[in-house]
Amino acid sequence: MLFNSIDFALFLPLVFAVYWLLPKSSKWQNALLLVASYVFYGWWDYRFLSLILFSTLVDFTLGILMARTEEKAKRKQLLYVSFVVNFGLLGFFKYFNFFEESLIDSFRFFGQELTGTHWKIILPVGISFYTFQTLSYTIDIYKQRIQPVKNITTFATFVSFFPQLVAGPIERAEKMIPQLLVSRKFSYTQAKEGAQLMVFGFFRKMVIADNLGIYIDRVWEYPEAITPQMVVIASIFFSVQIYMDFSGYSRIARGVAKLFGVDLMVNFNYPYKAKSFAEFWSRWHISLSTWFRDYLYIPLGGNRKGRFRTLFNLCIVFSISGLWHGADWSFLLWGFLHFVLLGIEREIKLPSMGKIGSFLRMVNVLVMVNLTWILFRAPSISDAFVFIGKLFEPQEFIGINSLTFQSPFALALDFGLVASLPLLLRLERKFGEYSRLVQTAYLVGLIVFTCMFYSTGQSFIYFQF
Amino acid sequence: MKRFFSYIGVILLGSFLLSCLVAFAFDKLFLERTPSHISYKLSRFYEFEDDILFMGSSRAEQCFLVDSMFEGDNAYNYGMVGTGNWLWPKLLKDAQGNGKKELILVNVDPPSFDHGESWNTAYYLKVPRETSVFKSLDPKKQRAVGYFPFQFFGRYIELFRTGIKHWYNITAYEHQGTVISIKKPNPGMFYAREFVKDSTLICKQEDLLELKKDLTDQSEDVVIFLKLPSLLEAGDPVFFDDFKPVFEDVSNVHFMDYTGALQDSMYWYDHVHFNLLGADMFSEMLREDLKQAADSGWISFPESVQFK
Repeated sequence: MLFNSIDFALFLPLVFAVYWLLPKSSKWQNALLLVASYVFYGWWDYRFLSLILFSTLVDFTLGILMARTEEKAKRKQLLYVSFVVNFGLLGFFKYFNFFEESLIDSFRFFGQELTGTHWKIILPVGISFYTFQTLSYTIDIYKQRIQPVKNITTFATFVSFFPQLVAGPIERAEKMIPQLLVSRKFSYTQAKEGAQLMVFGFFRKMVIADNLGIYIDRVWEYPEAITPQMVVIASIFFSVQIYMDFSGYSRIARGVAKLFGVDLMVNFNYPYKAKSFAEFWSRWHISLSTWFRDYLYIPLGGNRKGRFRTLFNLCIVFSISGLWHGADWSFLLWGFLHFVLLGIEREIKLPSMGKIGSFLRMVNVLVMVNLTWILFRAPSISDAFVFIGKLFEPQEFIGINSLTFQSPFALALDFGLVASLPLLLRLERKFGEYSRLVQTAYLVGLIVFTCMFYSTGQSFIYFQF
Repeated sequence: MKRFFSYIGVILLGSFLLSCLVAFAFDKLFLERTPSHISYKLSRFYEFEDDILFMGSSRAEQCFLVDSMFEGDNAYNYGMVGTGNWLWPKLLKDAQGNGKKELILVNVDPPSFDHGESWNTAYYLKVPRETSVFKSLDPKKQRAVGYFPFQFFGRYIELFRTGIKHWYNITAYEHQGTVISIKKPNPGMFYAREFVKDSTLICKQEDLLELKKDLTDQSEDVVIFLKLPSLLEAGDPVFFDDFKPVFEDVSNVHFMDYTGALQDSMYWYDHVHFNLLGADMFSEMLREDLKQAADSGWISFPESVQFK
């Protein structure tokens, strides 16, 4: 079920009403959230509920078994079982076709023909997200940072909580499970904040991201017919689209969770204000960045084992992060490029140069991140190079036709949305400081604007991961 | 909880009222004052004020310069982009029961009678629900048309864009429903497609009988089916050979086949749509033929039809 669908518009009020009419006990509340979450997920394809159920049962059992033993070696064995099961599922459903095709291509390179399985494996929505969430649970129990959950319903709710099930934020057990263990009482302030976050999120997604998406999709549909101007516009638009799409989703997720008395972590913190690549990654998809930091980078040694080992660790983390996003060489290259940028930044220290230096650094991060997003958006690595190559093919400028395949009006609206973004973000940030009347008027304005200018039928970009 | 519901209620009510206000203003101040607008065309049709109606797809829309053919302003071009042969039979049916005697010129698109679709939902926003056009829409599209003010939701960009073109008239000639692009055509547009060459119209007998039933049961209208030319076509005018026999006994239905006319690329925007010069030439040609038909007594036109 998509947040931006009629189904969800009916589903949410129903679940909300039943949830707060139930007896105020965590048992009832979690049971309802679990049923609602399975309905939410099963709406897309009920067959894949079995994967979530399997993963839930395995990690729940392993968690309890790990906590029962003080013996580190045995705990480690149980952790490996969790790794095998979770990475096994993820590997099969997400990476099987990719690895198979890569293997066949490699053999073909050396003149050998291999016959593939030709299995068309469907990628279950959200598998990367809930796999990482359950893995963090078992790792934390292994490290004895947390105690296992005794109640299967509570644990299953933690794994499949519908607001964040399909695209995060990837929550940590230590933050979320305590909220599920106690009964939630209705809080006006929390629910109001939730509703506000949803309005902001829907506006970001349905007005900004989806309208820009029309232009971007058109350009990518005919990469051979595009002009250098279109390359520049489409890549800038995509930087805005992916930010608005994913941060919009995260806001809606946080907003919906708040309606049920649950606080989820902030996933985006104005990433395009970053003045360094390190800062960018501390502001972008924070739940994933911190996951990789805590469960991969630090266990690999982090920055404690010298300069070269640090760079090596970063290379591993960013390459895997790239592959986490998608099973294609373009994602791997995207991750690797981010490692290169971060590595250069770490190794070459530039003078501060005050405010001008800050501004230039911000522009540098924006431009480079913008360029790497091309790999992220490209259907394949070769398409990405064709797209970038178009930048260097001079063509006669034939007016508006050089800028768009759409109508000039639609392009003007897109430019207007992009240009107004800093103001919109500022208004959102300062929202709490306004008077009640202004806040209400602002929300009404956003809702009406969303109704007027939304673009239909677009799924969230991060659902494919 | 009560406080929260009051808060949500205020926000939603405010949003609804503001949406109504915006939609009302948009409709009255913009759409209704934009005569060539996509949604306006069909709403105008159902007022049944015109005496001479042109129907068809984009080929019709980009072909007839109605004011150069007829006196007065009682002629209108109801050609609609993307509809092929889907829309006009329904319009024809709805036009039969209005008690007026009209001249209706219909462009029939090749290659087959069932070619075309309802296309853009925005066309039907103001179509009355009891009409054959609305009833023929698939249920999903009927739901998508919706009710005021929800019917405008998500469509303002498209409606505004198509309307604003009329006001500033930047890229097209627009008058009395005729829309002809005046943009410089891309040479790629001239690649001929096979489907328009020398083909007779592929049609099922039952579809034609259904159409005939609509035309004979109630109508006094004069209906002329036209085959407009395409670029790079030649051959005999055989397009209506399967179509004509069905209507042999219907006196107020006529056929005119223009296959092979105006074959110089200077008249064309692309291989199936005229440019302004081509539309002017074709309208002139059609006007002369209609006048001759009137003079020879082949067609008896309604009194409201006054040729230039």
